[in-house]
Amino acid sequence: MSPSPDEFRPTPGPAFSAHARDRGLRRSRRTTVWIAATAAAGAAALGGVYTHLIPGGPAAPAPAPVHQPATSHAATPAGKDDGGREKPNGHEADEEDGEQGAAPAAQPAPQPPAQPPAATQQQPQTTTGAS
Amino acid sequence: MTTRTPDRFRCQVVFPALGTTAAMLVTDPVALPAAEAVLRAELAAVDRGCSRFRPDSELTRVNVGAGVTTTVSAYFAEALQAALRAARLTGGVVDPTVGSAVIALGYDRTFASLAPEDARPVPVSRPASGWRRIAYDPRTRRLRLPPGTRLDLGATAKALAADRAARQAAAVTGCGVLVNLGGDLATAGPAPQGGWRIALADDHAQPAPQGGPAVTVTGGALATSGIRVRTWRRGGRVLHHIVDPATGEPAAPVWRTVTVAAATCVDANAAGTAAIVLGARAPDWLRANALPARLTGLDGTVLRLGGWPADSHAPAPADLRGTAPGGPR
Repeated sequence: MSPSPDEFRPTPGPAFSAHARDRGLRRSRRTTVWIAATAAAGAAALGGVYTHLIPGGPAAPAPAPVHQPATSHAATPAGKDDGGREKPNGHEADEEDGEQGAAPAAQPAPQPPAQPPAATQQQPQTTTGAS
Repeated sequence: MTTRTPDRFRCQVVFPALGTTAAMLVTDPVALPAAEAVLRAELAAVDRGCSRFRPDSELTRVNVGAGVTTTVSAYFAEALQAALRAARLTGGVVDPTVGSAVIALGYDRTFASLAPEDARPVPVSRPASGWRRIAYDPRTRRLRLPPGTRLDLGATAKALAADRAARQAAAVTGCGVLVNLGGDLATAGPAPQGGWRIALADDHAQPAPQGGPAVTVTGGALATSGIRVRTWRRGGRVLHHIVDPATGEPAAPVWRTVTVAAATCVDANAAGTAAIVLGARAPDWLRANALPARLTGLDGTVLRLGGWPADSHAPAPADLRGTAPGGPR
């Protein structure tokens, strides 16, 4: 027996169908954006953690070169600068040039002993010499 | 091999380490085993971290990875900072980036396995890449060497090990301690009465001559640098291991041996090495830094600076006969 016409659901009109589709698309777009944002945030957080945990990580920022405010010639001792200034290579030249206006830091010096050695005529216990 | 004396008054121990000799003296014989354990642990750590002859050392890993940023261990960081301190103190005269130059000269394996005569010509030398180009952040211990750079921490790492071992052994035992690593001496704790008695020689491993110069110290450190040890021949030239970073060549011979006293062995070692490299300019630099020093010229002429005493005539050093630091027991 065939169903009566009353048993069929009425077919929605074209306006209702488009509205439902748009709502579905918006919901889908929101979900996609939310997933993408969450994934990006998670990747950034994990990357930050791994940067500190994994030695030699390529994403890690390179540390700054060792700085020396008052540059002297390589073979010129501290405090005895002959006025010559060794020009560093690459980006260091720019960085050091950029520091020219800064107040010079104190030149570190070796720390002398509390007392200089004293003479002795007693039998030594050990020997200092080159090795 | 360890040199020991059988009696219970033994106050010192001597054994080979780091391609040289390690010696430890204590003021209390009871403390010697504990102090020796500290020294041996320190030597193992510095060898594991800073040997350029061990393929598994951290230094080798860092050198192989030059050009790449890496994170170093706390121990290596301390050794690196000691080397950088030496470079700063000396205006770059002592520079840890001389590794490539030292290797190019032929010192590319342990000195004991180095051929004393190498017929190959000495290659054209190049200046060291320079310690200022090392990128290092002490907070994160992240390090990047310039590509092609090889560090040589040899001298300062040994001095640092002497400082650390003496300090730790004195802290552990509560007695006076002297650590001597290949002629680089550090002391800590109370000195024996009259001070630690130390013979001065060109070569720490050779028997000091009877009546040779000797001094006493009550604290701080002594280090000696010289060009008459660790020498080899290459291309008909006699080369030594103290390289001038400005040229990449062995330092021009002016002083045969330089001994410097300082508060720490790292500073004394840096100053002694700098004096060898500086040559004729060394006395002015040592005076400017108020460092007691004894410089022996190539002809044997001795120059004393900074209150270094006149040479006395001491008998030959105790030959590990178990004498207590205060005198024979």
